[in-house]
Amino acid sequence: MNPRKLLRALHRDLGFFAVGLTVIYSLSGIAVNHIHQWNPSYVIERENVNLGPLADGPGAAAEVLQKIGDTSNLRSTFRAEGNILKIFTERTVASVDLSTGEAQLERSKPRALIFPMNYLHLNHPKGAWTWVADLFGVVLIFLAISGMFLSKGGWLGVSRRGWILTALGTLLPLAYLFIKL
Amino acid sequence: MRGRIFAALMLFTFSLALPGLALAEVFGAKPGNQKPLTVTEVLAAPSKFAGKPIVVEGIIIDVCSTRGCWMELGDGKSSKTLRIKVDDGVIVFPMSARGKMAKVEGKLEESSGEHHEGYEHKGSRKAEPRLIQLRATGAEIP
Repeated sequence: MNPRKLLRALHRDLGFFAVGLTVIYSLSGIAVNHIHQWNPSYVIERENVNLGPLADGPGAAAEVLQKIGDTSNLRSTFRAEGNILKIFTERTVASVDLSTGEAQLERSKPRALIFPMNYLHLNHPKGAWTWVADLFGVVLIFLAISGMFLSKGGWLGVSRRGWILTALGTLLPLAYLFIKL
Repeated sequence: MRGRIFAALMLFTFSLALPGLALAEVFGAKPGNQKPLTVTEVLAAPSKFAGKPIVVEGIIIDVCSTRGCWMELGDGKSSKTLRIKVDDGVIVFPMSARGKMAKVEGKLEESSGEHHEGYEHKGSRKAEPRLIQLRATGAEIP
């Protein structure tokens, strides 16, 4: 088979194969790029409420959950310093001051779509996924390099306009590193 | 022929998911089988355990919401908590683990207080309090 034809076929087919993961990794990359401005993985809702007088005893947790309307399973409780009781359910983390009735309720849930994307992009699963991600990296390198040689030549090929654009794209991160480091 | 290739691909794909079916989730290296210490026991005599690999068990009181790079363990015997620290990205503790029991293996170390959410500074910024923490190699959370 003609080498350029083979290159085009591989670039095309691997390109199709890489669409899903490229979109996942790119969207996740944008999300975690702004980690100082938002939590890319969780939506955290906090609410301050006053639950009124609370009895300090074995039934305190059940009384709090009844007042906040949380019927999910109770996981555990923890007595922090002072009169603070922390209550953990499947849905809520409640920090309650038993002496005043003041409570901070925190509910966190994973961001739809972005959380699983981050999970894969940041290699949280580890194990076999590490190999899949490494293979994807190799595919991307192939797509980048093979893409330079898809055009037969002329003004659009790597020997003319192509090398200028490649050089600019490479110089940009190098220049930034040179300035910053 | 195509059917066999398809079946092999499906089998391979599902086999990648098999580790996710474990009853207890393991983060990093699975902790050893030695009898775990409680948070109170460790904090009562940290110098006794410093530098040695130990296994600690306790309730997950808090988890870093940004990178999952630390969690606080407590037990029912006191209000003290022990910080479990990992390097960013190497192990990521999920926020959904709060309130669950965890078994963690690692080495006790002393470090300066870091500006993590949930960790409250007392005193001036320059005089950072010393923090006893467990540098974890792995955790098991059912």
